[in-house]
This record gives sequence, C-alpha cells and structure tokens, in this order.
Amino acid sequence: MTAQAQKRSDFATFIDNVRRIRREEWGDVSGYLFVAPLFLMWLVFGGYPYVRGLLIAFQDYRVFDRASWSIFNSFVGFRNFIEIFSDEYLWSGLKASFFLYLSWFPVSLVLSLGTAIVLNRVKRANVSAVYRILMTLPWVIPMAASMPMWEQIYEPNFGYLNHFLSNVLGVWKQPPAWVSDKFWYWPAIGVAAIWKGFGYYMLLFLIGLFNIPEEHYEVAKLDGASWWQTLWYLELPSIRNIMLLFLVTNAGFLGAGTVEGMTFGQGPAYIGKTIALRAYEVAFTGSMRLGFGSAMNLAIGIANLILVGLVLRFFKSEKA
Amino acid sequence: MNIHKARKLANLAFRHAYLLLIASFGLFPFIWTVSSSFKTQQELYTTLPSLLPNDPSLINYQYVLTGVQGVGSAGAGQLLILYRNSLVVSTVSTVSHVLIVSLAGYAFARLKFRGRDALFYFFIVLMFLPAGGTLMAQYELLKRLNLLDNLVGLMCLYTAGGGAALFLMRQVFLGIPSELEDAARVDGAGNLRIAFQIMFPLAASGMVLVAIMGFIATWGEYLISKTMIMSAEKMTLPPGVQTIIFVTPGAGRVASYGVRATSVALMVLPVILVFIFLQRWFIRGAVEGLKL
Repeated sequence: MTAQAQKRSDFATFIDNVRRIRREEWGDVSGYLFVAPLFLMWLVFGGYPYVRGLLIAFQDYRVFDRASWSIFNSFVGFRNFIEIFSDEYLWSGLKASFFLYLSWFPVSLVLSLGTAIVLNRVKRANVSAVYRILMTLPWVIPMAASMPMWEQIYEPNFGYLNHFLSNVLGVWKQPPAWVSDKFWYWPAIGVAAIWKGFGYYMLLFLIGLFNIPEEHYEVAKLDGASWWQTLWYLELPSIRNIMLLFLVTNAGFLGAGTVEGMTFGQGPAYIGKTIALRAYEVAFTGSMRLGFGSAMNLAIGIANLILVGLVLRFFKSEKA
Repeated sequence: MNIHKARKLANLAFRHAYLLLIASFGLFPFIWTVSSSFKTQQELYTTLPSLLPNDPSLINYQYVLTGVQGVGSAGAGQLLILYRNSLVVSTVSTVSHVLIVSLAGYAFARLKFRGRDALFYFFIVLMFLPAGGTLMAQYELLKRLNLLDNLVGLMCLYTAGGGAALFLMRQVFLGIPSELEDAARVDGAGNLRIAFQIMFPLAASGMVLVAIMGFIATWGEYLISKTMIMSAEKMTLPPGVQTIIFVTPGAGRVASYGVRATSVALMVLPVILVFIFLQRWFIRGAVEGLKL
C-alpha cells in the first residue's frame, strides 16, 4: 500500500467517523430540510408578528404618525392597558360579548347534542348521510356570506321571516324589525350563529357516538334498558370528552364576535359591538392605534385563558 | 304485538319529522338566497315575498357579472374581479400550505433527527396561545415588506398557519406501514424521493382533507383580508361582497337585495361543490387523521 493510498483511506475513515457521529448526535439531518419551509414561513409571518405584537402593546403606535413606529420613541409601559378601563365601549363591549355567547351557546349545545343522538339512531347509512350533509353545510359557508343571508331573511318589510309570521302562520301580526331592535337583535344574531355552527358540533358528537361499540347497546337492550336509560348511562358518558371539547373551545367568548359584528351589523346604538370588535376598530379604523388595539387584544386573550382555565377546573372537580 | 309495532312506527315518524325540521332549518337560508337572486327588483320590493320567484329572471346575474346598460357601472362586473382574486389566493395558498405541511408532517412522523419531538410539540402548543397583537404586527410587517394591499402578502399569511393540519398529517404518516419505505431505502432511494413517490400517494386522503379544509378556510377568510387589502381591484370575495352596490339612474347607489343575494349565492357555490363532491374524501381523511 502506498503512502498516498494510506492517507486517502485515513481521510475516508475520518469522514466516515464524522458522518457516524453526526448521525448519532443529530440523527437524519435531512429532517431539518423537510421542516424548514413550514418553520421559516411560520417564523416570518407567525412567530415574529406574535412577539412583535407583544411589544406593540407597550407602545403608543399610531399608523399615521411615523415617529411612533419605533419602540424607542413611543414606549409607554402599561399605559395602554390602563387606558382600556376608561374606554367608552369597555362595559357595553363586555356585555355584548356575553349576550352574543348567551344567544347561541346553550341552544347550540342542546340542539347539536340532541340532533346527534337522534341521527345516530337512523340505521340506513345513506339516509343518515343526507341528513348529515344538509346539517353540516352551513358550517362551510363563510361568515361573510351567511350573515347577509340571514339579514335578508330578517329584513322587516321584504324578508321572509316577518311575512311568514304575520301572513303565513298569522300568529304575530306585528313582528319586530329584528336586526334594528334593541332586544330582538340578540335572538336574531343568535339564530344565525346557531345555524352556522351547530352542524359542526353535531358532527363531533356524532363521531363520539359512532365510537360506542355495538355490543354495549346490545347489553343495554338485553338488560331491558329504556330509551332514557340508554341515553343517560351509556351515550352521554361516552361523549363526555367531546362535551368538554365543546365547552373548552368556546369558553373564551371574549375573543368572539369580530367578524359577526362586521358582517351582520352592530344593531341599534352599537349594542352589538363586542369587546373583540372594539379592539379591532381601535387598531384599524380612525387614527389606527395599533398599540392600544394590541394591548386590548392581549388583555382579551389573557381573560380568555382564565375563562378556559375555570371551565377545565370545574370539569376536573366534577370528575373527582 | 301490534301496539309494539305502532309504537315503533310512531317513533320512526317522530324521529324523521324532527330531522327534517332541523335539515330544513339548515337549508332554508340557501333556498331564500337563491330564490331572491332570481327575482326582479319589482318583485323584491313590491309584492309580498314568496318562497319561489313568480317571474324568474337572470337580471341580477347579468348585473353582477357583466353590468346592465343604462343602470350605471359602479360595482358591475366587480364580482368577477373578486372571484379571480379569491380563486388565485385560495388556490396558491392551499397548494403551498398542503405541500409544506405534508413535508413537515412526514419528517415529524418518520425521520429521526435531534429535537424533532420538541419542535413538533412547540408547533402544537402555539395553537393554544392567545393571538394578542399578532394581527396588528402582521399589518406592520406587511407594510414594511411593501406587501400591504397586495395579494402576495395575503397568500403568505394564509400559508404560514396550520398547527391542526400539521398534527393531522403527522398522524396520517404515522399510520402508514413502514415496509414500503424500508424497501425503497434498501434500493437506495433518498428521503425526498421516498416522500414524493411513496409516502405522499399513500397519504393522499389526508392531504385532500387538509386541502379541502384549507380551501374552505381561505375562501371564506374575512378579517385578515379586510385588514390587509384596501383597493377594490385587489379585494377577495368575503370583504368584497359587501362593496357590491346596485346603481340605479334615479336613486343613485342603493344596496339591492337581489344583487346582494346573487353575489352571495355565487360566492358560496364553490365551497358547497367542494364540500359535497369531496364528501367521501372528507370522511376518509378525517377517520385516518383522527385515529389516535
């Protein structure tokens, strides 16, 4: 063996060792390349804005005032957060968020759960599929399209609802002007929201019910369990987790209502202006105070986390 | 015996009556919207509303698609511009989203590299962080990048998200048996080739599900689009549909229910078609992805 060949093979072993150690230490590094596109996109358009959004909340950032863009010029500490308490729409906004939640949440829970239970007893697969598709269709309809649809139904003079109530059924001779009525605004937006969302929740409950093994039903039947007992002791306990999902994902109601308010309208005297919509308006309309809006959004997010935590805690103590 | 049978029948009748009622509640706004879109201005505003148009007319469709002579032009044809923008934004961001999420999902499921699981859970935890000032900072970012009021900026924001899709794709790849992959590796195929030629075709139903969800989400996305796009010729459908206004020679600009209904009907048409025709994929992908 010549010296040169010896040297080359030393070099080859060296490279092999490097490769082996790299593989042991870092594994299959091409994995990083596979993850890179997602990671980089997220970093630039998701991660960075997230962190920057936290900083903006401590700035008096106004879009039309160039000097205020830099944090060194416009750092105001917690002043934005303190200002939230004196915002003219704070209390009415919190009230609106709560009313919006009340207007759809309880009914949607009962309706989606009840419909899933009834639909689960339809044994013919294609019949049940038709029902399922018809009921989940509203879920895929954009909010910006579904809200105008309901607005047209509610239209006091030419919409179908008032015509139906006063002329077809004849039960209510002078129905209200729904959307522009101080009280009826809430049921009106509530029904639209229920319509939009209940199919999705029904689908979740339905998946939960599908997962109950057929034998459990048979045992219940053999034991002579009534319809009610099957529901209470077999079906409801099996979808407990989905109920938890439903409650937890909707517990943060303070963040909801932005798009609803912007597409459905805010009712008379802005009664439908939820706190989340207010935060959006502060940041993106008028003098465009991104800093104040960001602080408001952040406060809403933290309040939402607390609400979610409370619901989780409640469920935990229930279980024990 | 007969009582038993009668009771069973009554039960069945009650069940279907209830389901039909709920299904018609789900369907009614569509019927009303489509029906309104075929009504003339006269019928919409003068006669008592009827469920179906008395004298069906295509005038609203003609107006939103091409404009009508003598009725003014503001807004006419605007729908086509919105449609084109929405189609471009939704398609490009859906395709790129599916691609990058599938690549990452494959790596997180099958390749072993340092920090893999930590990185994955990092992405999942992100889903639960409150948004805070993200939208405001995204506005600033696009402004700095000169991408404000630009469809490219919108596509970037739409492509970047997706913790749920990542979770689903990883789940799908985990469910694929490893024999084929091992065989290809023995034959000397690299990771990229394995991903594209073997794994992606096997994961097709999951990818279609992510694509359907992504398309539906971007097609209907309102808030970001409303915030980042200002000019009428760059708007997408959800915020843009509010700007379509009927112009009459006498009364000037008035929002017409017919025009609004027509725009809305045309706007929801693609998502309804996607949802109904890809229903089979939808269920299959959901079953594979949710198998925990």
